[in-house]
Amino acid sequence: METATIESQSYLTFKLDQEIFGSTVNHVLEIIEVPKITKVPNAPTFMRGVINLRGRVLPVVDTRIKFGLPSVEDTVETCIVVLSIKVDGQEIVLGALVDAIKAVLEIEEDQIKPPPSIQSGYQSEFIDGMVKNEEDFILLLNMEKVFSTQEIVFLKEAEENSTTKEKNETKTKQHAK
Amino acid sequence: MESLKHIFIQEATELIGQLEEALLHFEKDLSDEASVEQIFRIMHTLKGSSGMFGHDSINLFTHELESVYDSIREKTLVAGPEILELTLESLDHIKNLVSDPENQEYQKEQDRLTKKIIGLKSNSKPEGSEVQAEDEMASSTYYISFVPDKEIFINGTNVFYLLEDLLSLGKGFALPCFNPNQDFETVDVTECHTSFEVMLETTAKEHEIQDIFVFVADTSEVSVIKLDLTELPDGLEERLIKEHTYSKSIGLETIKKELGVRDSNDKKEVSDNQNNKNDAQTNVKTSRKTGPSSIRVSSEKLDGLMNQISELITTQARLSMLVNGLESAELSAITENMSKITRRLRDNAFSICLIPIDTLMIRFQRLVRDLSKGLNKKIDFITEGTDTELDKSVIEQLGDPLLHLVRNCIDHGIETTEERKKQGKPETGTIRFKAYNAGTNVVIELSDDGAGIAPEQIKKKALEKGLIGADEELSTEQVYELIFKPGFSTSEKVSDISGRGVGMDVVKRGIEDLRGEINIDSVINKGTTFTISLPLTLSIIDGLLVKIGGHVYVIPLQAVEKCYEVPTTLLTSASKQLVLDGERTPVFHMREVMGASDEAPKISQIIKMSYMGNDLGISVDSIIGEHQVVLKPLGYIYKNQEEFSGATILGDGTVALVFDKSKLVKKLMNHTTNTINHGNSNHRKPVLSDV
Repeated sequence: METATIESQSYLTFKLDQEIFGSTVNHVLEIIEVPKITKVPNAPTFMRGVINLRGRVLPVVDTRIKFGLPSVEDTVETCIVVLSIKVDGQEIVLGALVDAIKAVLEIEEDQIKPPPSIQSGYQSEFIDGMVKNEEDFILLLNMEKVFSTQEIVFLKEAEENSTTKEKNETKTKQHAK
Repeated sequence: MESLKHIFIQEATELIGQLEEALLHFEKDLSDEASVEQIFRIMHTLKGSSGMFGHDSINLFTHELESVYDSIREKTLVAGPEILELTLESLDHIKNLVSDPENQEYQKEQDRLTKKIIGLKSNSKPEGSEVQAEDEMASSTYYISFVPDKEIFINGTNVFYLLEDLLSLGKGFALPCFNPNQDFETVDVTECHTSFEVMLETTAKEHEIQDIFVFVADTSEVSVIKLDLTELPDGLEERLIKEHTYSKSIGLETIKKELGVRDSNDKKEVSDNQNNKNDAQTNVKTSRKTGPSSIRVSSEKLDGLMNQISELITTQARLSMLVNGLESAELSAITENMSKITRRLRDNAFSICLIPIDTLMIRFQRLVRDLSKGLNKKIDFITEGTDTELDKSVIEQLGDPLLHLVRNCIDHGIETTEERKKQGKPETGTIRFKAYNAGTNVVIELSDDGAGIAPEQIKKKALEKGLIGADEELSTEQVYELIFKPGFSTSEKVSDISGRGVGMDVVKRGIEDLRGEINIDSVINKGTTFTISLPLTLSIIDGLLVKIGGHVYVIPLQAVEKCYEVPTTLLTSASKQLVLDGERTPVFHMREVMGASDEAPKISQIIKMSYMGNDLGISVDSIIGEHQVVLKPLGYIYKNQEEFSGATILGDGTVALVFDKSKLVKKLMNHTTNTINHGNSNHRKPVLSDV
């Protein structure tokens, strides 16, 4: 970071449970209200279903479940963030359900601190870094990594989840078949 | 650079295809000069474009080939079967070169073929070659008038290159002439308004001059007139320029006057000849013009168009629904009109994506030709209705299964010539390919007049392979169905053509992937007919809208055999045997399979389907009705949900999932014992997704 000008980037911040997360706006196509979601039977639970986005069938991921958080009923604040990410070299578009949208922030690069260590309870490979904004800590997510894995991403490595993780692994193996 | 490469491959493949077609046509009638002309022209284009894209080996190789046909054209070489054989072989080689230009292994093949080709040429130099050589030494002068077509620039032709080529044949000059009627204020600069007159002194022959204009001769006016002069006098150019107004062509007469040549009979004859030639050319021109003109569009653009149109259709459906509730006459009139236009637009757009099945035929004709020669059988391949159109992606995927069927017909179906004689059949066997439209389907019939399929033989074989039990009673249809089972091959000997035991099951799967169906009908010693029925396009399907657990699903109508009503109480577990029409049929309770949570209806509908000759049923809560749906992919994320071929958007804007019959059945069969887990209640536990 020896450049004279400080690089800054726009981040979309959103709320999930009690945490605030950020994603670079480069991946964000739009934010929409939650329409009627058609469930796809027998799909992993974090896949909420598909919606009609102006004539296009868009898969929707329940980000809460994807992150290993308890699911709640949708509220008026619940939104779908339409993301475009690259998976296996393929451009895919998907919707991510989030509890609420906060803001778009300009974050300078030198404000970003390295991802928290393991004991803080987050799996660091999905997090690009952290930023302190007023009173909140914002976790900057690597959206491509988060949504390109076919499994549930465990942000909180609580003990109760270890069993689920095992199951999850068997599930991934099954996927491999 | 990558994209250029891609363009070349595409173009070359097309050219090779055309060439193959022309060659096969030529083979039927070796005296057909138009074919030779066409072959030569295509080769020339191929040579040019390979040179342009830097494929030197293809360029050199085609050059050699081209010169063979040049000789045929000039009648210094007589076309025979061995030349054709060699050309086709060479064509295969070029195909390899195009697809994999880096591969060094092809070099040997190329050397071998080049040697053969050169051998051809030197072998059959005609007796008159010395005379010709003398001819070539003598130079003569020509007056060439070239009036380019107005739209010549649109084709990317550079007129100056043509002139340069022309002047490189000898000594001479070109004088331009501008159309005086053009106003510089209003002139269309994309058009060509200049014509040229060229005086040329050359040792080249007249047709060589004509050759330069071979690609523009169709649209532009070119006349080459031989003058009674061996060389151009000095200072002619200066003299002509002095009097040239540039707004009117100088004309042959003026030049002749300038040259002091008198009209002679001899010359007249030449120009008469020229006229004849021109006539001939116009004939060619008109015959080519009758074919529809076309433009090349990338399939991505078409896909985009189709997507937008299906969006429009869904939006239109919603609008119509809304207007129905409003009771405004004016508005409904507009909406109705709009829906008409939308429908027309949709039909039009779909027809754009359709291409005639013709494109596959060249491959088959070639196959029949090569294989029948190899097997020493005489076979006529007759095609009918090859202008029947199918979706481009269907045709692409149809190629291999059909190829396999044709192979089977040649290898197993048609008997050897002796065998046929014994049977009292004509020596030449016939394979007939027939395609036609039937409703929203396209039907392809492939039939041969060969040995037919003996049911007993199939049964015996199936028994040996353990595909059926010894005491199984099978109907003839069921016996034929055995042919499509994996691991079944009736060929006594394993040949390199077919009979590897993979084959018919692959054919069947390939066709089912296209949501098509294949049936066999056979009479011993009379022949076999395969009937393939395919949907027109992959993106529109006729579906049956059903409701399971409060959600709407679409079952392809083609999968539905029959519907029954039963009390839901009969359906107690995910899979159960029920008696339908007096036959025990496994029925899958979809409410259980899908994990429906709402209250079950008193009466359930059972939809009977048939899969690999077996009947089975699935239960649904209710049947809503028939609906034509536009299929959309579910996308990468749901790639493991194979039982759905996609989703569609209903009139009210919601999404309904579309079942893929064969994959659904396969999945149901595999999981009859495992209750398929469905996580509705507890989100914390990831549910085993069933893959």
